Amino acid sequence: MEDSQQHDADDLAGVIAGDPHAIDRWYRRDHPAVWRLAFGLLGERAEADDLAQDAMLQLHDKLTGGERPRSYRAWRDTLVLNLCRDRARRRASRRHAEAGAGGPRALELAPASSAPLERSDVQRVLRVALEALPERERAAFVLRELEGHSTAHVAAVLEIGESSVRSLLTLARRRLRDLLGDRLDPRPLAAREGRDG
Amino acid sequence: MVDRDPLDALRDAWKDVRPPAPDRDPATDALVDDLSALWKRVETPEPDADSFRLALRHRGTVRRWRDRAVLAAAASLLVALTIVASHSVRRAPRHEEQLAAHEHPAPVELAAQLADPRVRTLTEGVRARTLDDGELELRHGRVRLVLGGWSRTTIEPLEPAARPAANSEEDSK
Repeated sequence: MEDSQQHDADDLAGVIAGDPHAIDRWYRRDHPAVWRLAFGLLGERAEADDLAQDAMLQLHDKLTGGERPRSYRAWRDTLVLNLCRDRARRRASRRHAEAGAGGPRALELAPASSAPLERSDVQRVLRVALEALPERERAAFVLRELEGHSTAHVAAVLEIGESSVRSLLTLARRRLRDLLGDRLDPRPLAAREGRDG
Repeated sequence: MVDRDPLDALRDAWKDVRPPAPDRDPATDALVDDLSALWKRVETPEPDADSFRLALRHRGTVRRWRDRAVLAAAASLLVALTIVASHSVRRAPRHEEQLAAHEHPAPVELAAQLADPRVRTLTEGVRARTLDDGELELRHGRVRLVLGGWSRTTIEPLEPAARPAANSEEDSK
């Protein structure tokens, strides 16, 4: 962690100074994490592509505009979270206007015991599962359970206490269990489908 | 004998309070593991640093042109205000002469005779300088325009004694 913080500080200094190599390094290092968080929160690749680019531009503007966050990665993820929240709300209003609101869609999977999941199914399963979670539970679940961040980091991003993070995770797990129950094969997917490259 | 503070009992009880354990059971753990395994299969796109560089350059260009446009508009406004201020004192026959003088503003150029590089001549007779707090001051004739963002922009007349003489070096600080 200390090494990564030092890399953060070095690259950020270069970004602020306008060093093109530092900007490149920073972009290549941070874009994947930003994209993954956006994908987890929005559920669609195209939206994640757009939002990640927009987020990186805004991060650059804020850094060169004088912002000096105490914890860069929490600040970065908070910005992404806020952008995703705004976009998701606009999308929800649009969809609600276009069609009647309903409950979570039924999860349709390929037969769990035979054919492996296609890549498109992977995204579909994740999207349906995560869409079942309210905004804050989803953010906590994506950051902690899927991206593997610490509870402290999640608390900093969501601007809540660590015990609140644990409560959100408990609620999220319970909701997913209620939705998915035994619809996902309890054996690890990798073992059932075989190791694929 | 000192009575124990009743709050001490509360404090002791509070120390023993433990938050509830997360809702973990083997089925939920397995479900989360499955979701996590799916998550690891999501293909993250390769960062397109070239597009990002282009986007940054485009934003920089747009900002520079926007700033120039704002500056040019402010200078024109200042000239117009000066004309109006002059017209309110002198009679109309001078008006056409003033309009002709400011009809074709000179391009942006450094005032070479002034030592302070912050001062630039935007149009003939309009002098600009950057103030210490980052605001931009434009002067023309008897009018002073200070650009400091939408909430801090002011326009004020200059007292005759405060008006800069032509080609003065007062801006050096």
